[in-house]
Order: sequence, then C-alpha cells, then structure tokens
Amino acid sequence: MKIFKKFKVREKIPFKEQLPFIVLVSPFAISFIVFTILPILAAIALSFTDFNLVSINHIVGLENYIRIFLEDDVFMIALKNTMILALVTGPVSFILSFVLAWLLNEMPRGIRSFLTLIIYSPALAGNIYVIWQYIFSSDSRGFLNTYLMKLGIISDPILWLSDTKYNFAVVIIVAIWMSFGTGFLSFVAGFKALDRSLFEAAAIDGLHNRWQELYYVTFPQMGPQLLFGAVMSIASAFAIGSVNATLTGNPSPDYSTHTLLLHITDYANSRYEMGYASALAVILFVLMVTVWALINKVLKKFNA
Amino acid sequence: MSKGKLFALMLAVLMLVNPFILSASAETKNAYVEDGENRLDTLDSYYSYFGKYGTADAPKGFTEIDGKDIVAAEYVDKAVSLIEGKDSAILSNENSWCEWKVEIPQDGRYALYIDYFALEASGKEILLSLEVDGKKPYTEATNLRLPRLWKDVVKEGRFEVDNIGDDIQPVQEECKVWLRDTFIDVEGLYSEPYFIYLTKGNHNIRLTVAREAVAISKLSFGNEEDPETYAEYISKFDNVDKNMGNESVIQAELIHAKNTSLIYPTYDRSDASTKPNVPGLLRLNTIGQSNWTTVGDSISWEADVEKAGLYRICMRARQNQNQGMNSYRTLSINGEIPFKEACNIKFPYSQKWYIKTIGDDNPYYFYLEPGDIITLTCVSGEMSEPLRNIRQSLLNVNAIYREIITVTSTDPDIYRDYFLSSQIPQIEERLSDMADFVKSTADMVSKITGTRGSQASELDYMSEMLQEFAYDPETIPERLSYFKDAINDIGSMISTLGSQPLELDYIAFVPDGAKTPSVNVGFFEKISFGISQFLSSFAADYNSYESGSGDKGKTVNVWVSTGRDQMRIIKNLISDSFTTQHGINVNLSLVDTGSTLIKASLSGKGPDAAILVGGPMELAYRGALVELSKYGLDDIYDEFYEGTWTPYRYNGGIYALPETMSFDMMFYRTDVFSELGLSAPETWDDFYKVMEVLQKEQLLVGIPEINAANMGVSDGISTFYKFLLQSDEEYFNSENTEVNFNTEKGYAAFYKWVELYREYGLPRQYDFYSRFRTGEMPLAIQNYTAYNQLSKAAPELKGLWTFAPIPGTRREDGTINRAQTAAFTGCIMMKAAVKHKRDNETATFLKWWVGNQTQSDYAQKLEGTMGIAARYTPANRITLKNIAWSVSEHEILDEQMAAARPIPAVPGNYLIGRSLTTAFRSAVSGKSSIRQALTVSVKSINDEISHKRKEFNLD
Repeated sequence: MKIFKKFKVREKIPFKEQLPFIVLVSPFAISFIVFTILPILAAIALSFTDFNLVSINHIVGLENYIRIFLEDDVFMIALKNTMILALVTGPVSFILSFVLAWLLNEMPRGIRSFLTLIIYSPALAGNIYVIWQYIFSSDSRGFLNTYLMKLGIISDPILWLSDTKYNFAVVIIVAIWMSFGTGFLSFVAGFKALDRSLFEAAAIDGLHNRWQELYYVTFPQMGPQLLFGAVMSIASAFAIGSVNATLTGNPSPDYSTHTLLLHITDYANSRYEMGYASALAVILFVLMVTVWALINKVLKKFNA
Repeated sequence: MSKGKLFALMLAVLMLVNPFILSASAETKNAYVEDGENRLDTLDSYYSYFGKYGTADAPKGFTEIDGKDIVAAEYVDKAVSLIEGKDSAILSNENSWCEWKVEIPQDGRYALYIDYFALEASGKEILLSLEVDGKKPYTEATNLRLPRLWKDVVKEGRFEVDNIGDDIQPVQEECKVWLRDTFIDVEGLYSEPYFIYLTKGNHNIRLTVAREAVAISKLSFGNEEDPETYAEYISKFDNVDKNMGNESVIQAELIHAKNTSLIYPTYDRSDASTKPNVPGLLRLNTIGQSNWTTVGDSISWEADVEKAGLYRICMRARQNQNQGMNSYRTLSINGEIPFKEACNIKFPYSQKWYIKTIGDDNPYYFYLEPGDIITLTCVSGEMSEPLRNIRQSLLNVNAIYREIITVTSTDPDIYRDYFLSSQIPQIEERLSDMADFVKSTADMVSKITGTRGSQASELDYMSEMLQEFAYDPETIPERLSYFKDAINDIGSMISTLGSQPLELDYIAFVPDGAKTPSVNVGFFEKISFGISQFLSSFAADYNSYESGSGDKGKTVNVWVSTGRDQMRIIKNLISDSFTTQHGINVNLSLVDTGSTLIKASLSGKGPDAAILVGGPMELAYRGALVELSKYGLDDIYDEFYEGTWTPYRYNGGIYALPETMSFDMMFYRTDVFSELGLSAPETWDDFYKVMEVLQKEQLLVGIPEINAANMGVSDGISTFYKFLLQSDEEYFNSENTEVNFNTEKGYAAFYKWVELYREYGLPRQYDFYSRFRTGEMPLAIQNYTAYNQLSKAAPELKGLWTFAPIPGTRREDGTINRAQTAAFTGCIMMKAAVKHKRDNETATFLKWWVGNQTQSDYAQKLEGTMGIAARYTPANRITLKNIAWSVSEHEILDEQMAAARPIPAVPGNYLIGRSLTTAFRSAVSGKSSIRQALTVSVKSINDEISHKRKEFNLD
C-alpha cells in the first residue's frame, strides 16, 4: 500500500517539475533509443525480408529462420562455438576477474594501481591481440614453435592458427586474456566501496576464515557489481568475433572458430544478405537475453 | 644368444660400417660438386672478368670511330642519317644492331664512351647489349644502360600551384640534345665504368638495342685522363680577385637537368628552416630524398653567380635514409671534373640538416662564370670494394648452405650425427676461409663508415658463426636456422650499402669575404612556424582533393581505395591531364571502399565512381552499378585482352573497367638449375621430373597453399584452376548455373591438386623470399609481383634467378596450354552518377583512367616514387609494354596475360574458394576421400549459386 502511494505521489508531479529530469536524462535516452532500440526493432523487421543493402525484393516471412535452422550447416557450427566460448570464457573470466580483484585489494596502493593497469591494458588497448599472431605464428620460427622445437617437444612447426585441432583453443586463450575489462574494473571499485564496519561485526560474530568472510560479507555487499560483471563478461563472450577473424581468418579453416557474430558479418559484409544476417542477429539477441535472465536468477540472492 | 644381445651386436656392426658407407657416398658427391663448380665458372660474370683483367693496363686517351662508319647492320630502317646536325647510326627498334670495326693501338682495358642521341620511344632508359668479335664479354654486357636527359617544366622560376595553394609536381620534359656517356654498374659494385679487355689490332664491336631507340654518332675507346690535383687547379687562378661581395643561392629543387625521370622535387614540411616553406601548404622545397640513390644518377644546376670568380660551394643537405652510412657525389662543372678532390664528396649520415661545404674545414674554391652548369653525380665512392666482397661472400655462403642442406635437409634432426666434415669435402677450410674474408670486409666497412655500426656487426656475427662452424661442423645442423637468418640479413645489407641517398635544400656559392649560410632559422621563427603548422592541420582535409574550379555541377566525385602516395599521384595526373583536357572537375576522396561503397550508395551519399575496387561485381548483381558499354568503350576495348573483360561481364553488359591484374609466374634459380643440369619446366610433366631431382637434393618446390592474409580461403585454389583450365574445362556450365568441378576433368584437376601435397609433400606454408634467396627453394610458382620484391630485397641474386611462364599442358597440336586464373581490381560507375546527370562525364573519366596513356603515366610515377617494389600490375596490355620490363620479360608476361582465363561473374562464386578449400584440406588430411570431399563441396557451391539466382531473379 505504501509503495502504491509512493507511485501515486510521483505521478502527480507536474510536468513543469518533471522537465529538468527529462532534459537531464534525454541525451542518453535519445541516443539509446536511436542507436540501440531502433536498430533492434529494425533488425527484427528486416529479418522477415530479403533485404540486400540496396533493395528489399521480397517479404519472405519466416523463410530466413527456416533456412537458419534447417539448411545452414555452418550456423550449427557457429552456435556450438559461440556456446562453448560463452560457457568457457564467460565464467572463467568472471571468476578470474573477481579473484584477481580480490587479491589486488590486499595489495598496497601503488602496486595495486600498477597491476590493475597491467591487467586491464589488453582490454584497454583494443586490437592489441594481433601480437598473438606472432606468438602463435605457423612458421618454424614463430615464437612458440621455436621454443617448443628447441625444447624438443615438437619436431615440426605446428600450424597453430590454421590447424583445426589447435586454433579454437588459441582463440579461447586470447579471449580470456582480453576479457579483464569493465567487469574487472567494477570489481576493483566494488572492493573499495565495502563497508568495513560489517567485517568487524562479522568478526565479532565469529567468522572462522576468509572464505566465510567472502561468502557472508563480501558477496552480499557486492551484488550489483557481481551482476554487472557477469552480464559484461557473458555479453562480451557472446560477442567474440574480431579476435577469431584476425587470428584465424574469416571464414576460418573448416569454420573451426566460426562464431555467431562472424556468421552475421559474413552474411552482412561479404554476401550482403542483410535479411538473413538480421535473422541471425535476432537469434543472438534472444540468446543473450535468455542468458542474462538466467544470470539474474542465479545472482538474485545477492541482489537485495 | 638372447634377443637383446643380438640386437646390440647388430647395432655395433651397423655403427662400424656406417662411416664407410657415408664416406663412399661422399666421394661420389665430391666429384659431382667439382663438376658443378666448373659449370658455374663458364657463366662469365663481370666479377670474374674484373678479377681476370682488373689489373691490366688502362691506356689514357681515346681511339675514336664515327658512328656512320658501320660495317654491318640489321633490322635498321635507315642505317645512317643526319640527326640534329650529326651523321649517325640509327638503332631505331628493339633488336636492331650495328657493327663497327676499331683498331686498337695496344693491349689493355678500354671503357666505351658513346656520343648518342636518345630517339623518341617510350621514354625509358636505353638498354644496349655489347658484343666484341661476336661474343659477349660478360653477362652484364646484355643490359648496358644509357640514360636520357630530363628537365622539369617551370614557369617564372617557381612551380605551379593548385586551387588550394599546394605546389603541383612539375611536368617532366626530355631534353633533346646530344649526350656522351659510358656504361656503368648501377649497383655500385665498381667505381669505374665497365671496361672491355682488347688486344692490339682490329676488333668488331656490335651494339644491339635491347630497349628503346638511339642514334650514335661516335664511339670512343679509352680512359679519361686523371683530373689534376686541387693545388694544380687553384694555382691557375692566382690572379683572380677572390673578394666579390655577396653570396648567391639557388634552390636545389629548381634544377637545370637530370639524367633520370625518377628524381623529382620532394618536400620537407616540418622544418621552418627549409626554404621555401609555408605553414599548412605543401611546398616542393627539396630534391633527392629517397629518389636520388642509384649510382650514375645525376642532377645539374645553373650556377647563378653575379660575376666570374672563385667561390666555395655550400649545400644545405641531409642524408637521413641510410643509418650510419655515407653518401657520395662527384661534382663536375660543365661536364668536366675540375680537380681530383671533387670526386667522391662525402655526405655523412645525419637526422638533421647540415651545411656541407665542399672541402669542409679547408674549403675548395671553384672558378665559376655566370651560367656555368654544375652537376652532382651519384657514385659508390669507397663502398664499391666492400660491396663486391659482400656479394661474393654471400654467393659462397649460399653455395655452402645448399651443400649442407643436401645432407641435412632444411629441417635437420639435431640429435643425429651427419658427419658433415666427411660428407662435404674440405668444409672446415672453406668455412674458415670465408670467415676470414667476411671479417676483412667487416673491417673495411667499419673503417669507411668510421663506426662499428650495425652493418659491420652483422658481418662480424656471420664471420664468428662461420669460424665456429669451421671449428666444429657438427654444430651446423643445430644452428642451421640462425645461419639462414644471418645470410638473409647480409643479403638485405647490400641494397642498403649500395644506395646513396641525399636530399638537398639549396646550394650557395660563397665568395671569400662572405659568410657561410647558417643551417637553421632562429628559435622564435621555428616556434611560430610549428604553431601555425599545427593550427592549419585542423582546416586541411588530407583525404580529399578537388581539381580545377568553376562549374561545380559537373564535378565528378570519385572514391579511391589506396595509399596516400598513390592518391597523390592520381591527383596530379587528374589536374595535369584530365581536367585540362576534358574540362571536367574531379573530386577525389580517399575512402576504404570495402563495404562502405554499398552502404554509402544506399544512403544516397555515394560517389559517382570508384577506382581500384576489389570485388565490384557484388554491387553489380544488386543493381548499384551502371552498365558501361553503352558509353562507347570501343577506343579502349582492344587495349585489353578479351579474357580480361570476363570477370566484369554480367547479363550481357560490362559493369566495371579492369585496372590492375595479377597472375602467377614460375620463379627459378638459374644457378641452382645449371648446377643440377636442369632447365625450366615447360609442362607439368617436366615440372614433376624437375621436382623429383630437386627433392632428391633435399631442395624444396613452392606452390602457395595457405593464404597468410586469410587463412580461411587457400591460395592454392589457383593451382586447382590451372589444372582445370588446362584440361580445357570451363568453370561453369553453359548457363552459369552449376560448376563443372564434378566432371571427370574437374575431378582429375582436384586429384592433381591434392596429390601435390599428399603424395609429393610440398610445404603448405613457407616464406618464399628467404627460402628462394638461400636457394633451398629454387623453384616456386608465385604471383608475378614477387619479381618486384625480389629485385628490391635480394640484389645479391641479380642474374641468378629469372621467371618463366607457369607450367602448361601440351595440346594435341604441340602448343602448350598455360591457362590460369587472375586477380583484378576495376573501376565502376555508381547509380548516383545517373541520378545527378553526370554519367557521361563519369564515363569519360573512367575511360581516361584505364586508357593506356594514363595507366602508363601512373605506372611510371608510381615506380618513380616508391621504387621497383611498387611496380604496377596493369590489366591494360599496352601499358604492360610501357613498364620497365625488359623485352624478354615483357614477352613472357604478355604471353601469360593473354592466356589468363579469369573466373566469370556468377552470383555466389565467392563460395567456391571457401568450399573447395575445406574440401581440399579434408582430402589432404585424409579425413574424407578425395571424391567425397569434392562432391560435398560441389553440392554446396551449386546450392549457393541457385539460391543467389533466385535472389536476383535470374531464372
């Protein structure tokens, strides 16, 4: 009842008084609507056509979706790879980010800032992952091959980036290396914002070890950051694509590192089948929203 | 006896016997190698000729013969004629020759000076080939060069400016004058001109034109007198008044003449002290930079002195290209070297500009009169001897490297003993001799440059390595890859050491009383220049350029997807020739046209035309392009081979005009081939035979498979196409609805492709340049642009490699089918041009651009600006002839160009490369059978094609 009343009160705020808030929120709201909501709606609409960037020739109804699920062999590979990437790099980077932030929190200030910068820098530097091309170069004098051959572990150079046995693993490693981004920073910040008095109280109440402290005191306080970090890492895991494309080519040998995002780029940029690409994008969107809902459910516990 | 003991005994016996087996094979090897060396010696290079006769007497003075006294001639329109006042022998077309008789007074070395007049042809340097008594004295005698003389067209003492205010590159014009020159080595290996050794008595001298056309009025055999010393020179002017008031300055970019069209004015925008300089605008204010590097290239200026007298010559100069090295120039006045000290003037390396006074602290005075012409010629100076040594050591080291890999293979097992010292005769002595030789060269280089810099230390490293190898040859297999790297490093040194870059800002003639000009302007001037430069960078648009002014309605908007240097050349071509000829303005923008083009045209912001577009037909299928044949392509149509149009034909129309075209050629090492007694394979049958011989010697054969830029689609697709097309099969069926790959011919082609890797074990990924250079891969099929990189990056191999047409398949009538695919870029007209009613103007522009005249100019400027590495690959067959290929090179390129059968424009054909690559890889790895892999791939390609046909309503 109380809540209901609150709403009532808010609705009664005259427009004149609301105006400043509307003005303040509008720059973001407008750009969010124009650059996020509208494109999503447009993609949903276009996914029912055969739009080819120049013209819409036919309204094809559900044909694009039917083709995706029944005819497109590569889509299944892309879906599989995307799921593996999301399920491996998402949680791994989430946990690693948290653990690293936790460990960093214990360090003295100077070292902490320095290490934070180092760990964050791959995400900060954008396309820096190209350096892995040299490390995993297929030439017998690529960095990794040279050392492995020197140590006598292998006798012939391994084609790290084009051999389908290895290249997906390489992509996963690089993706994890790249993934200490915004989520990681929010953890670092979150640890700083913890209420120290609660730790004291918990210690008085009889905490046995640091794990208990982490679980009963830290986690509940870090709820928003945890959710944010989880969403960020899953979202970025679903959107992995440029790393694979740069390292293993698009399309990669036998589509071995093909992801949904690359599948979309492939249809949009080299085949100009925008309708089909939109349908793929809608599927990816649905997938991400579903996963987000799941995460929300899991982390609800800490989200007061 | 237990099993274990028996085994041990057998092992022991084997180990005892093994060295004998090995040494027995070493003996046969020994005989073979010596034989090979003998064969190499018959290939008489100037190096060995120089070694044989270099110390012979060089008589001063000249024995002269008139050009008109020909004793024999062939393919000459009119043997003798009066040219510009002189009776001369006319060599008017390629392969025409004239012969003269000369009576030599005494045995000795003779240089050949020629008085010549360069006749109208395609404007390249003249190449002659020389025969003495019916025999070429050395291999270099086939390509002897005579330069043409050029000048820049300048109005009122300054360059013209465009509508923004930037300087425009001046037009170059050939000077039609009689010239006198001799043959020199442009690599800088020999500081003196090429000589021929002639005995006393009569000799027949024959000159054949290998390129261009020339008239010859006089041949002089002999050697120039040594110039007098400075002391002798200056004593002649004792009574000339030295104190003559003010200095006079000439801007170095405003030249009088130059003997190569590759030198042109350059700019230095960053230094306020470089004159003239205007912040925010481009002023061509220097000359040389990286273009004036080749030995023999000269620039001359008119000395702008007020009155005759003695002057010091000071230059504001910079050599910031070759780290740690000196550049050398020889100064002459009116074509004469005034005194000995004016030879080999040294310009040291410096990042900053400096004032170079000839003579430095004890300046030399030159007697100059108003209007005197002073010339600076690029010479190799003291570097020629070390350069010769490095080249020779490199060839020796490469030879021994190849001998080593015939024993160890390129990928040795480091845990195995190869008994190299018994396998390769005298390996220790040879290695140790080489080490000493390299060491002495390193000493020489560091003495000349004054530092033990990077060049000398690379040589030191090589020398140490060779010494260690000589001490214990068993360490070689382990360090083989480092050895190869060291060889590569030294190879790339030659081009660095041989080039002599120099940039000049101005030249000052300073009389005795006047002060030497200072190198820099004041601090505040510098600051204010820097600030205005920075501020103007906000206003300037570096990515677009508009030619001409006036009627904006008729401005054609063109997007170009290329580098900034290339765009600048295109922009100059447009303003110099297109806008002035046709009165149509062009707005040129630098845009990466990948997928931007289609998006921009969708939003209505697209250009009227785009040039250098990679895959334009995807736009054509979607109706974004204008069909071009209705604008009348007759005048340019025949400048291209019929096959060249194939990729741009669609639905009975032509949707793009071809610009560049590249295809594969076969590269091979002539030295390795002659050593093994092989000749270049003509057909695939020959190719397999050659491959067997090479593989027996542990050498590699290269056919590219993995595409380094995009690992998804294999480069090897072109190999499949070669097999397919040469079996007279087409890509598609007659209706273009299905691929023909699952026919018997298609299957055979696919089988052969897979077999190359599965049965013959070719490497799937390799670095062509380094492997070709060391000779471990003496045969490879590569895109013909590899020629450019090889000539630029591996100068030490000059004359040791060549390219030939790709292997073909013999037809029933005995001719060879060398069909293969080719890659293109094209230029297109977008629908926007029609909408804005500029389609006729746009078509005129496109036709102008792909026409031979423009393409040739572009190709020439491109090579002039960026060197041979940027040699253009035109689709225009006439242009191909005008590029600096030799006659024989052009012949085979032209043959291959005519034989090209590119893939037709069929919607969905992009899937072919992808799908076949997958099929190929699974067949090579044995994941699926060859037939199965091909069938699956053909089905998916055909599905895609029919899907696209439905999308574009083609059925």
